[in-house]
Amino acid sequence: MDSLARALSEAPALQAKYAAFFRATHTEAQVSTTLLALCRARIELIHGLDPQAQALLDQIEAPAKVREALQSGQFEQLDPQAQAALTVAEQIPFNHHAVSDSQIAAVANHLGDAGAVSLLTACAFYDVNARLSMVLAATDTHPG
Amino acid sequence: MSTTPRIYPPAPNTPAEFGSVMQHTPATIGAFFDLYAHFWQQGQVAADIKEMTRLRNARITDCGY
Repeated sequence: MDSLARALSEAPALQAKYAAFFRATHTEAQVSTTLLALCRARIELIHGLDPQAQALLDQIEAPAKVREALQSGQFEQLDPQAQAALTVAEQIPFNHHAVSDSQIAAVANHLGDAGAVSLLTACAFYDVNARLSMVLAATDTHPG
Repeated sequence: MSTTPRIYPPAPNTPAEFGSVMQHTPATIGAFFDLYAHFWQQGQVAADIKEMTRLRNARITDCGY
């Protein structure tokens, strides 16, 4: 097994463009790093990538109640913005057609339209990275 | 699945579709199109194989595109 970045480096130009796009989803609309990390961790946990998710939660120094919420999928103890974002994020991997108008509206209400677009795009590609990581038997979900 | 737009484009009176809504994040969509163009135009895998897998993926995910 190797890192996802190392695996993707077999196609360096493609990797560079993918990494640039992935970075843009995190920086352009200024969605908080913490909120993005929570959504990414939840998606990774759904895919069974527990070590990768916990490493991410370590980076943002997530307290125990946050980790428990992400493990259980019960977000009531979290702030309203996180609840709204995670409610949508956790449906991305296997139930994206069930995301409702009101759920998207809640995200846009908290983050604005640009923030909502950034968050949704980022979540879609957290799912992509998780799946790529599993298919390539990579040790992490960071594309480089 | 909803059939009405959930987020409208930043430009007024513009139809809501993928490209126009993504203009809320122009740097992101610019980087995406750069990536997408490279994916389709470069690499070792033949275009017909890529298209076939794209269509199969769209069927599985019930993607309208």
